[in-house]
Amino acid sequence: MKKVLSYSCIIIGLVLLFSGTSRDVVAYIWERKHHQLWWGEHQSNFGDLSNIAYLDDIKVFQTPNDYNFTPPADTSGPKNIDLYLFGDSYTEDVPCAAFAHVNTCHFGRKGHHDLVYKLDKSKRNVLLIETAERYVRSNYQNGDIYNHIRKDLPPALTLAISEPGPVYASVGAGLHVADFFNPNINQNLEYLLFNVNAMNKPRLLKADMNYYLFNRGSGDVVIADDGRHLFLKETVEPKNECSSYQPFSNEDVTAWANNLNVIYEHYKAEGFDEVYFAIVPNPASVIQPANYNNLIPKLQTSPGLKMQMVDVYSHYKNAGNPRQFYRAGDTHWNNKGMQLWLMLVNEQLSRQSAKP
Amino acid sequence: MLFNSLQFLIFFMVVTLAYFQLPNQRSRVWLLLVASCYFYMSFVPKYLLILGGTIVIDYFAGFLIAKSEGRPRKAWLTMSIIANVGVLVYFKYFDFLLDTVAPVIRDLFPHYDIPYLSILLPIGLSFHTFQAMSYTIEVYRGKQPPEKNFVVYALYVMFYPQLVAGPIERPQNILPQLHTYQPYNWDKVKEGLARMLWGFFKKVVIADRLAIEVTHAYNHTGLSAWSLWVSAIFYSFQIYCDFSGYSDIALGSAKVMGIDLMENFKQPYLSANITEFWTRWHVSLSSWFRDYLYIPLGGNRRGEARRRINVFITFLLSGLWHGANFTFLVWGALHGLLVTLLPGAKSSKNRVVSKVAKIVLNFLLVTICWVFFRSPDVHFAFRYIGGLFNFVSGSTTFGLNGNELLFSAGLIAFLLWREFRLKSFLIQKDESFAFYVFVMVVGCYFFGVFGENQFIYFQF
Repeated sequence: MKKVLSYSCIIIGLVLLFSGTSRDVVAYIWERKHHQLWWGEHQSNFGDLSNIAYLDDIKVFQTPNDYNFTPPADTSGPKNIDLYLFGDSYTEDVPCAAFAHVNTCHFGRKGHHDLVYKLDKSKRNVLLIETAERYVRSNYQNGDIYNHIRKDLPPALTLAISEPGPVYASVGAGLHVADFFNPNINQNLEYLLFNVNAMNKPRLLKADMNYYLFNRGSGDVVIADDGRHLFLKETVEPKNECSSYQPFSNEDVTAWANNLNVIYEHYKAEGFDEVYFAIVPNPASVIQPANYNNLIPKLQTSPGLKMQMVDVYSHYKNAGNPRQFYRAGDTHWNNKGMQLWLMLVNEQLSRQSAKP
Repeated sequence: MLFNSLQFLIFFMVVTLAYFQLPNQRSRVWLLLVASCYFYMSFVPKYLLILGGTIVIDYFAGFLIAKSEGRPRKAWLTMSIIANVGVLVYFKYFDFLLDTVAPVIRDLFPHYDIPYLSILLPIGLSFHTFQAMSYTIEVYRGKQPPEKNFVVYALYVMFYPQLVAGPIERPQNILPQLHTYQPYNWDKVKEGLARMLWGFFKKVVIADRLAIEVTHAYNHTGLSAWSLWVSAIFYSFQIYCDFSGYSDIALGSAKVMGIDLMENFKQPYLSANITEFWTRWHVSLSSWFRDYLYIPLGGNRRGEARRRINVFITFLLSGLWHGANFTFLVWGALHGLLVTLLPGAKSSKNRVVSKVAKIVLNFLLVTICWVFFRSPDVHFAFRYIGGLFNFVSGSTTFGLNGNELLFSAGLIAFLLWREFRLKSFLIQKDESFAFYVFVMVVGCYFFGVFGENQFIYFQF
């Protein structure tokens, strides 16, 4: 009996280690669990940070998803713009109808699906690059963007993942030794073993205890100083390049601005009529600005910057209550924050539409 | 693969169960070697080649040393040491050395691009290099015959519980155990598991909680002396729980398989002076330096002045062993000075001072020295230490709220009590062992601070 038990545990352990490494197995299980099949997974209605930190029960963070997409105010004039939007989770759900003067929309997102363009010269072709502030330095400073916003040519390798899920291994063509040593194996194992509905109660209990006793979130989530908002930990750690508080030099800003100029000129040369860059501020940058590194304003006012910027930061900052633009338990903006951004983008699109 | 990870827990379960299913020692050694390779490769797979290279060199060096006499014997040892130290210097100190001479180079050749390596340090390099060196040195000294079985020798260097952060073992302790078939022993399994659980508790409940406060202090400027003292003291316990927690897991996981590793910590903060502290803190490293550096330098055989110089050199190099940064060098130098200049345990001058006062004073000295260990640079460390004695200005803020500060203080008290009065009766009976396991697992789960926090000593 002991022998049978031993061998069973060995086999289960090996299967788990393999599953945690395998992109395909994790993707398959995630698909099942995400749709509440098999053992289900924890899903908070109050935002991704509430979900990660299991803080569903805490009232102050309970702001529901209130996105309400309406047609743009300026509907006069032709729909003569082909909009190419390379965005992230902030903009992936924004429908084409929300943009002014737009004939067709094309959306791409890093790690999900590339933005592939085939420009119609009878239309005005506008490229809008939207990014969360935390990705400005990692995603737009090394030329990687050209792999993700590219001409309609057969790709060397694409990873098509329909929705964001747990972290997968990057498996390229062929199998390499490194594929057996997935650096994200622990996140995957944690997801496979413990992010199941049966484990929700103890996890919620622990999160509540941490909140009420120690005023702390857990894992990757940090509670704002005023106690009324959650932040992603990496956006407030001063040593993290995603952080709103990591110091940098003026030379850094100049280098980043130059890189944006190179991107701008590249896509202009490719035939785009205009290229816009829109940085959505980290919630910490506007809600808790005391030690903000001012990445966005410094970049936007950098001398010699050619890239056309959509400046949502100033509007958020100058509004009476910056908190009004973000969901309390989420990394993202709320409907108000999104509508303000849409208004600014549509102003630019109207200008483009009016051009001969 | 971190000890405080799900991957390790599953890996440990699989390897241990498979270990006890195998019928002979030969197959067990192979299993442990393959498992250790997997364990090491989970950090950076290609670095296994470096480790493998030094293992092959030292394995053959052992034979060549044993077969030779006189100068050739010394030459083979020297070659082996150069190979080991060479790898260590290349990966760990090359950029540091370049950085040190960079100002001069830039002055002389302003347009010269300094060729920094900028590569990731192979994990645990300093540990397994020292362990490998102790083998060839012991063979040279005639205290250890060369190991004939290559797989056993490779496992001696790579045995996964102590591969990346020690204890730095000696061949006389480990090699005989790797040749001996260890029958399944429930008492040893219980003892090992209990020790592992205590190690996990120290790491995830105490060390990683204290780390929040310490990180806050080291990331903020303008803090009051009160805030800085709390964080400095917390760091003393953080690094202790972090490193000794790792050692507990290492010793425990080896014990489950019937293998005894050497003790690395003996309640070091209960030491009455710095000399005593170093007989209780990271024992495997301090004894390595004593046996292979301090004594060959002459030890105390050449007079008091020379003894002090030897002690200072040993501590200076011990500081450098920890990392390629002037902070570690200053940390080592400070300990060297304290050991050589302060009166030792046998001094009669301190009789009037009570034992408790001596322990507290010694703890505070060690705590101040740790500031160098934790600081990013020497300038920062001096500023921090200056802040410790500036009771006039600064803001008193903490990274933990009041409840958690009190809870942390309680955990430190519990730690001292638990380690000072370690009671084996907790695990003597199966019922009490089950209760202990339950309490530890629940405690780690509900009070653990999770987030894949790496062990501090992994960087060395």
